[in-house]
Amino acid sequence: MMYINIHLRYCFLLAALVIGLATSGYAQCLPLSTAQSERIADYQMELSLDHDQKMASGTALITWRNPSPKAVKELKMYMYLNAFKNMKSTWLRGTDGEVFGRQMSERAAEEWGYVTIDSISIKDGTDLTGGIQYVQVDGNEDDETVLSIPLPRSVRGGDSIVLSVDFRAKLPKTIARSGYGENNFHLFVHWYPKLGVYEQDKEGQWGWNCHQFMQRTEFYGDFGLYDVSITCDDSFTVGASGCLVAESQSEGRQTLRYIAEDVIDFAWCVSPELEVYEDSWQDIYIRLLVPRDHRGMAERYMAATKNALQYFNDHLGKYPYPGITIMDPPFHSLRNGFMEYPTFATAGTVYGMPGWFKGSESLAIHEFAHQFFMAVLANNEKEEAWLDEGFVTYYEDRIMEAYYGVHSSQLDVFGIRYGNSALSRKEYVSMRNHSSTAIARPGWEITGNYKGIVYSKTATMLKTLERYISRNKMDEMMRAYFEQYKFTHPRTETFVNHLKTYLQANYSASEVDTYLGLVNACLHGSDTVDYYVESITENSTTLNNKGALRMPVEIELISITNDTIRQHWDGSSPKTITLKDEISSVHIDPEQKLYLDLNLNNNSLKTTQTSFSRYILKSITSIQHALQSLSFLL
Amino acid sequence: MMKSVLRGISIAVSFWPLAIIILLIQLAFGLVVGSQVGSSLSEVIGFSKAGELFSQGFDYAVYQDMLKAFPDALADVQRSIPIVIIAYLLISIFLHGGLIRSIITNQRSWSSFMKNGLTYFLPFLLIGFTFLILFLLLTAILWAPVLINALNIIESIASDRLFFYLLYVIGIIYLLGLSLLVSASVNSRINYAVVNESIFSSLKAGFAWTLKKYLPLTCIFSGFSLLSFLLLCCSIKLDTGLGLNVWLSFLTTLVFIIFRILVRSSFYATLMHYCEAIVDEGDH
Repeated sequence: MMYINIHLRYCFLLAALVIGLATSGYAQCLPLSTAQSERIADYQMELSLDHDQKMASGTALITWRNPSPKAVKELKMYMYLNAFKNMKSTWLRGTDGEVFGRQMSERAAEEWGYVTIDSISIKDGTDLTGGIQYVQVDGNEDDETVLSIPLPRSVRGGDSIVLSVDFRAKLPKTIARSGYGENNFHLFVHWYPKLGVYEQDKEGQWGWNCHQFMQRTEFYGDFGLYDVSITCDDSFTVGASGCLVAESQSEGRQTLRYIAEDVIDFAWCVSPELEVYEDSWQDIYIRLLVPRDHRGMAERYMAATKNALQYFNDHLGKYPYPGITIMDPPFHSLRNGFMEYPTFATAGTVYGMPGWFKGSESLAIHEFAHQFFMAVLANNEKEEAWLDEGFVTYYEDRIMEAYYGVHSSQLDVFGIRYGNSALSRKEYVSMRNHSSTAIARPGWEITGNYKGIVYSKTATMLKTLERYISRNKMDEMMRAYFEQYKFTHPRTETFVNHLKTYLQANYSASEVDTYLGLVNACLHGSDTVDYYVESITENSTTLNNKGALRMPVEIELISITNDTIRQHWDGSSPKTITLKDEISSVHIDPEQKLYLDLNLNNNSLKTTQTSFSRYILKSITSIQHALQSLSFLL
Repeated sequence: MMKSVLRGISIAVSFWPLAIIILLIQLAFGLVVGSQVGSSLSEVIGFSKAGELFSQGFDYAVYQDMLKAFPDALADVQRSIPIVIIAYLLISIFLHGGLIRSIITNQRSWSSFMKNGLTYFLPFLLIGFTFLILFLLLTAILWAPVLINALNIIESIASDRLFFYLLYVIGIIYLLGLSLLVSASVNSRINYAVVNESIFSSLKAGFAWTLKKYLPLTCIFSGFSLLSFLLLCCSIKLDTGLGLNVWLSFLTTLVFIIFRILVRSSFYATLMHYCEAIVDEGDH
């Protein structure tokens, strides 16, 4: 009943807003007012920010609907701000006490943060405060990032429960992501008591999926409607998830009301030094929050966001929210940057960022791409981060290269240049150890180069798949995936099964086995592929593979009479090819479809040696210039 | 001052064969590194199609794969660069001796250049070494506190623009200090070549001359440094921006290097002329 009341109030608010907009034109971000997701957890919050104490306090009315057929006697909540409460949290224990060059144990008492519940009750008045307790589902009995709330009576399948929670969220001086910085900069992320996800596990058993906050794991939450009112000093610029639907001022304070629909989380920031830049792409409202020092980046961020919106629209699906806010934190709070939250992303740059380096655009596009992979296709980032980070990196590379050049999308200066895909591939192939690089694993099981595995190996695998099946087919498959699973919690099996179905409909059985085999080998195994031309002996050549992963490729052979012969190689090695004529050169996979190949340089061999006069001459003159500069000072 | 600058340029241009000698010596050092680069690349990717691709222009993937498969591919080059720099700096001291004394005495013959170079090598080496230590001290005093406290500064300063302004201010102070050291270094050597007294008294005189006319000397240093830097930028721009043929690009760069050598020679000649005026003033 209460659930219906909240939604009725929300409908009235939207109706008023639409009428208001028609007359005032005040806001460009308009809630859609139609549910796109199965809303499981709705949050109505009223908060007041005490910026001196770095604390937001208020009340949350949380409505949770039991999605299972099973009665639920206990709720579980994330209390993630407690990861920054002391050195004992699982998050900080995973860091050896040092984060971004800072010893955490050296910080003052007021620099720590926490979230605490002062009272919690069911809407009918039943007080639950006495029964709540922190639980350690992932070990470490000192961790306080997961809270158990025993219920006096069960919530039956399909029924709802409404909780009233009085809580305080005290920000830490930023350790990572959430926190405060100089000059009253505040970023509230992972900040409020938030319900875990009640779902079926792989064995079909219903239960709470509510892991502790760990350094390498991020989101998992249910979709819902967030109606959040924030009261703070009226000199502050506020940015938040969703759309601003109402605002009022009183006695030096402002109250801003945000509606975020069909999202899995809510983030907001407050700062007196952020400038607002507004624009739109089609009917999507874009809001940039940029510190004064980074004004020069506003146009670049805006262009990057529009490029990303256009590209996704053309190749994956339409951005389903009415607006997006991109916040570039001030330099002193750079630790708050480079993260994604539903309809709100944080970027990062420095004053005077040169145009030949597009790192800031790339990061902004990366975080924006998470709106599709994390916010809409809301996978479990803790257990299967590849489903968002890997896809996001793949699309980030594609977008950057489409708009900023294939070979120069990241850097282009003094003849030194590189593109995004090459950089992603490098991060994977340059890993010192490939013996444990299975992608589809929980974050806490991945040791070593997390980014190289989850981000870069996935992106390189997807690039390889794309090159085998063609970009058009890849887009077709991904569009169908997005359309079918948006506003759900896809898992590894969801994607693999979707891919399998698509491949079966479009390719022969052997091709399906090949492509699916490639994906499964990368997701669940650590096999590598490194094809190489072992030798050329007059009219025969031997090809081999240093790894255990096998993919079919084309071979290009050129004879001394300059005839070009193409052959197909299924990858079984070693393989010897003999021609009638003497062989001049051999090239395995000349189109570089197999982008996962650990070393592309040894894919070819020729009998004549290349001259590197360009580099010899450049070295000579570079050394001369260097010597000349040095001797000027002597 | 302008009279000295013009005179300095005129002297340097008239000593152009010395610039060619310096270019050839630099070229010899460049060849050492260049041939190592060529043989390293030929050895590791010379028989690969990837090598062909790389020879046409820098390719990040080829470069990374090369370093991954052959981590020591450029080890010889990396090892030889510091040796080349040290060797060149030593030879440079010899060249300075020859150049400075030849200009002072207006001797233009190759034999007198060599003789002067040998005569002044050791004292100039000691003077150069002294200034090298002073240069390292200046660098450490100005930059070490910033580097050590960079994280604290970044996180406590309200604006990153201020942080960059701080770097600019330190950079300007550093350049002013550098100007002092470079001018004093050249002046000390000129003093030694002119009066032939002890190294210590030359260092003293060099600093005294420099401090007495610090502002004009800084202007002279800044002007010639800026000109040299602009020539370097133009050279890089022409090399990377115009898509010139490899050999044409090489020859164009050599021309720019000759100009930069002439700029350096002009700087020395200007200082010599300017400091002669100071000596004259002092004598009177």
